[in-house]
Amino acid sequence: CSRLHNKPTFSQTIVLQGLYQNPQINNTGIGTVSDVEMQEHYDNFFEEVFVELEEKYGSIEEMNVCDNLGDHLVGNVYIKFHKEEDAEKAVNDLNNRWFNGQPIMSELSTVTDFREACCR
Amino acid sequence: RPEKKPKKAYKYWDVPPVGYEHVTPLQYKAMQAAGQIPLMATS
Repeated sequence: CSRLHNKPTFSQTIVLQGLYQNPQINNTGIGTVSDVEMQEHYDNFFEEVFVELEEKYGSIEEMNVCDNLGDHLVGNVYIKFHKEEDAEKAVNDLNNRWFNGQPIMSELSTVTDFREACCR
Repeated sequence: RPEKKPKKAYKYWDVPPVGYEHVTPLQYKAMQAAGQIPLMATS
């Protein structure tokens, strides 16, 4: 995969690049973050993102967080809205918002079915 | 103490990087692209 993915003009799905920061990555000490703490951190993150996006931009069909520890796709959050116009509104607005001390990097994504998502 | 709010206070949304509260996220990204700020500034 060249990772030079096509950027669609319209889509129900948006991607927020690197939004999720795995606490195990940022922690230099091994074993300093327990599995329970990790789960709690993830749950809080997921709830906060989901609630705000749905409240502000529109109804969400599905949301996925890439929680891998490798560099590819790390921390990417994919959100599929029910309506294309909500996705467009979200991308435009989110690109001018902060999240956890960083600017949000948001764009439309071609992914429509997360179980089938794979570079071709 | 204020009344109990129905919604939890956000921990992550709209938190700017320390020292860059005066710029917009779009301006910040433009500054990153221009090499004026490292890509992963610590918050």
